[in-house]
Amino acid sequence: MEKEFEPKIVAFCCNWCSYLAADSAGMARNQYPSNVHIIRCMCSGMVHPNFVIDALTKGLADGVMVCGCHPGDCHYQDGNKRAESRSEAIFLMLEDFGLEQERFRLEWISASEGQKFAGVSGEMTQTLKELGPNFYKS
Amino acid sequence: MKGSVLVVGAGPAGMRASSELANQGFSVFLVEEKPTIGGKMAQIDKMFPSNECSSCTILPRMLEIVNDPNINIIAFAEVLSIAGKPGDFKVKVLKKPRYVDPMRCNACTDCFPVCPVGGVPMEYNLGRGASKAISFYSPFPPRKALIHPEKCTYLLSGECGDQEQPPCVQACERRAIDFSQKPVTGELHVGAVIIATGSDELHTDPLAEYGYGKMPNVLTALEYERLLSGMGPSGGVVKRDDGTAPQTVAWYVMDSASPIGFMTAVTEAMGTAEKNSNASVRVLHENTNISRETYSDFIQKAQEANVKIVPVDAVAATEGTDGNINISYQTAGRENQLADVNMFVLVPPLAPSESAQKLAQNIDVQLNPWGFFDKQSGDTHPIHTSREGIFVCGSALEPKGIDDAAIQACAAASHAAALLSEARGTVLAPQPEKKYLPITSEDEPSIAALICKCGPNIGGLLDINELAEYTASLPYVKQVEVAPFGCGGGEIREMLRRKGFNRVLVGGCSPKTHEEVFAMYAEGGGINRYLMEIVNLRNHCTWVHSTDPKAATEKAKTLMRMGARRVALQEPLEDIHIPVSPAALVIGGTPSGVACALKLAQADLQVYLVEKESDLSVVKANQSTFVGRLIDALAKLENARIFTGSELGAVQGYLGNFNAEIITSAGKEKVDIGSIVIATDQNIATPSDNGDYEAQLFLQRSANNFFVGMLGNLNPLDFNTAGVFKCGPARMEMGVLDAIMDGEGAASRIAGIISKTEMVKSPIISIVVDEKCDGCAYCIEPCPARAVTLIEYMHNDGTKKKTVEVNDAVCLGCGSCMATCPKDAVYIQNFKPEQIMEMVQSVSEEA
Ligand SMILES: Cc1cc2nc3c(=O)[nH]c(=O)nc-3n(C[C@H](O)[C@H](O)[C@H](O)COP(=O)(O)OP(=O)(O)OC[C@H]3O[C@@H](n4cnc5c(N)ncnc54)[C@H](O)[C@@H]3O)c2cc1C
Ligand code: SF4
Ligand code: FES
Repeated sequence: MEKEFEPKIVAFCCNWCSYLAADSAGMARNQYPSNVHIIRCMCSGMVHPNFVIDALTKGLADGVMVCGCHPGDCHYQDGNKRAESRSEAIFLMLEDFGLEQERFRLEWISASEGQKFAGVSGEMTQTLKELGPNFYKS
Repeated sequence: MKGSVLVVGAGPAGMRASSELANQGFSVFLVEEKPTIGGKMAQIDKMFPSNECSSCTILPRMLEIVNDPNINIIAFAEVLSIAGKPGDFKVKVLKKPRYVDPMRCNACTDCFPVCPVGGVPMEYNLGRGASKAISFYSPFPPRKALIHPEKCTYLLSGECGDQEQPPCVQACERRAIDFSQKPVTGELHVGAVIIATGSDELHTDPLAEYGYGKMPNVLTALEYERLLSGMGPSGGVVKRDDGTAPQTVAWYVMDSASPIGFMTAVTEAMGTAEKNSNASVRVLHENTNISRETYSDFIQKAQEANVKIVPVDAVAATEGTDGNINISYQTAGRENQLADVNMFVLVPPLAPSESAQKLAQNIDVQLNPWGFFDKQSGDTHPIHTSREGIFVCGSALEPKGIDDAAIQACAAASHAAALLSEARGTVLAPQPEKKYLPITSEDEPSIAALICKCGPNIGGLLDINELAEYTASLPYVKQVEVAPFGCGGGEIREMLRRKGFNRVLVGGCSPKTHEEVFAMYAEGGGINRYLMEIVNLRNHCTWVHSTDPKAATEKAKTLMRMGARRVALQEPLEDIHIPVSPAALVIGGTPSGVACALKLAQADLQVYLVEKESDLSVVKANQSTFVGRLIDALAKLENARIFTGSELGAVQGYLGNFNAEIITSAGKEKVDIGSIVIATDQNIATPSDNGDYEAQLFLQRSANNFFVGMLGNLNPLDFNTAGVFKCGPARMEMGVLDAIMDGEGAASRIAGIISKTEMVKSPIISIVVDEKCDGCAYCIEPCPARAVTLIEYMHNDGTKKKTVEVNDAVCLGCGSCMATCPKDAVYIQNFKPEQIMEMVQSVSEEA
């Protein structure tokens, strides 16, 4: 039997909200697929679009998430707003590279929303399973 | 005189007073009666007027004070007596037994499932949700288990289970359970006391009249907060007692004297509408008067989100069918209305904390007729109690919002600091001396790796041998040890005793909770704390993939690989030390400005006050005699220089290091200051021929001309420009007493900066690689700290080069500049693009 495709997902989580959300998911034992790998960043506004584009176009990941604080809650005032405007550029670049928009996702998840983190991770995994492997994966 | 302070009550006010004082060089004992800290702020869901998540806002503050070596949190304790006099108090404190040794308990929760006694109602959730007889009191610090003596079989009967030892004792590998604990009394020696015991919902007969306690779907506002909260008993899903979601909810505000109840109701109604856009929500109130701009804006937003606000009279409630409640009320138009609602939320008045009366008796302090800490003598200062040297702040004084509680906490801190100024810095915890092995970038990484089982939390799911073997095969990893509980430090210390390592990799709990301890062990072993990486195997792996040990082990390998790659590229860093000009500038001789300057001068700090009018007595004449007394007191202090008939000229600089021109009738004078506060009247426009400090300091105003600054509830006195503060009518309309409190609060914020000769900050900041930077300057605008400037310099050969420069003193390390740079020319220390991409690369590989 062929093994089910297991997507590799990178989740950039900001230090002040989303990383803690993932910690809260743990405390509450909210289960989610093991496909998601968190990289801690100080702020969602720290994530250079190149990190996302390189991860996808070099075939390193099947999907990338950027998670930050809710609007108004960013530890640095508006880093998440910056992340949001960069995400528009990211979506355009994905199109240029012929990659599905679903391979990238921007989410606002506060420290107490462990369940949301688990939910979003589950959804992302499911979506990517349906999409299949990243076309750039050798 | 003692340089330490007792703070009673660890809600937002007590926590704030503690961190303000620690920041000014005092040592603090923070006594909390509950087993965990945070007060109401840890219980409510979202906050007016910011609509931000309350527990998310307070949690980082909790971790800060937990990790502050000069704040000693004494939770689950009670103050029995205070003897002595200001400057020299002896305090008796009683610590209640947890039956768990907090030094041993590492929050692994292994004992919870084995405890046979369940269904213990959770006090933190106001009786909703259930725990075992051993549990956490709340999700907040100190995160130590606790046994409920009135439920624990062993404590009640001396026996539990059929073995010799109770199951929890057997389950606890760290042997933290201690049934022999008894209440213990200790004595603290402090110079001043701050009461911050807060307030509680007043549960009296009128609640029952509206069906509370009789009808299951009638509840109080605080109970409703627990239902809204993501950390609450229903995970943030509002449910009725039968498990269904309510479609119609009404709030009834029972106290119209204070805006807090009304605002609470509006916030909860809005939260409900945000979660369920079909819900019909209405707030019934009896003409609450809301004048504050930020509050009325919030109400308007709520109305736009379909919250109905109904002024009413004569509300009654009777039991309906299906658990519903029939409410009737008269609207302002004298119309009688009937409504059948699914849930009815009562917002009772706020009364002093239940234990306030006992505390007041214990420490011989008077209460006002409503039971709040307030004096009845001629002393009009709100923060003084009837006993000298004992101050009060927050909602222990009267019901108030978190923003006002924060200001009062700062003000109370500045009173204590003024009283104890002589003893500042005398009882601080010694700074551990850091000795590192010298290492250069040429030195090949040599990693000591520790895999912590955290008892069964990690070890129970993962194939630890396989993981350890795999970790040993990773590049630069020289040794791997497995520890049952690595946070005890034994294994890591032992490993580092052998020489030759220059980096540490730990697979275990979350860095958010364990970074400090492991950094301490690393430093103890001579390794710079920035050469240590924690891989979150517990919260991000075993706890969330607990049904699939194989997949979890594979993921754990990937996480270790990511961590090893990152730490190999990490660089040793030193804290940044920035000298501070030890003086402050107060702009405006308003009551607020005078109060601020007075508290600073009384705390032995240098202060300059600039006032346009020719004499401060203009202020005095228009205000109370109280203000007159402050002005007279200020005039007597040598370290306060008052420039009347003067204006401010050019202002430059940054946090800790500003300089300003003061233009007096006699000419210009230049002053160096570490911090600035704006205490002008609202309507004074600042640009003058001499300069425009508003523009120079990047200050902003609202549409109504008030100064506005940092978002959020906790920092109402802070501007976004670090080191610059605002107080009094410059920031919102307020009475004289509030303005004075504002000024004193600002004095504490300022003293936190200028009472030290230097600032120490994290080296996780932005670095510009000049060779790569072509001076495009894209990174300047996104920087929230305005830390980036464009400069031009000349090479030896005469060619000019443009580049950006980052001011270390103000950079926050957020990385906005890094993410904007098209040339890879800016990076954040230890968050280099190479490091991040190495981690991404690690995800793609297979073990
Ligand atoms: C339902 C509800 C919703 C609210 N919503 C908002 C909002 O959205 N926005 C807002 O700005 N404000 C809101 N408030 C008000 C807010 O809770 C208070 O402003 C704030 O909590 C006051 O902080 P505090 O530290 O003074 O008191 P508290 O938060 O009450 O903390 C007091 C602390 O002292 C401890 N304590 C009490 N007695 C003793 C003792 N004898 N010895 C030792 N410790 C003791 C308590 O256990 C507690 O930890 C709300 C209040 C309620 C009740
Ligand atoms: S890291 Fe943030 S605060 Fe520091 S210079 Fe860059 S953008 Fe400004
Ligand atoms: S800190 Fe969380 S998004 Fe900026």
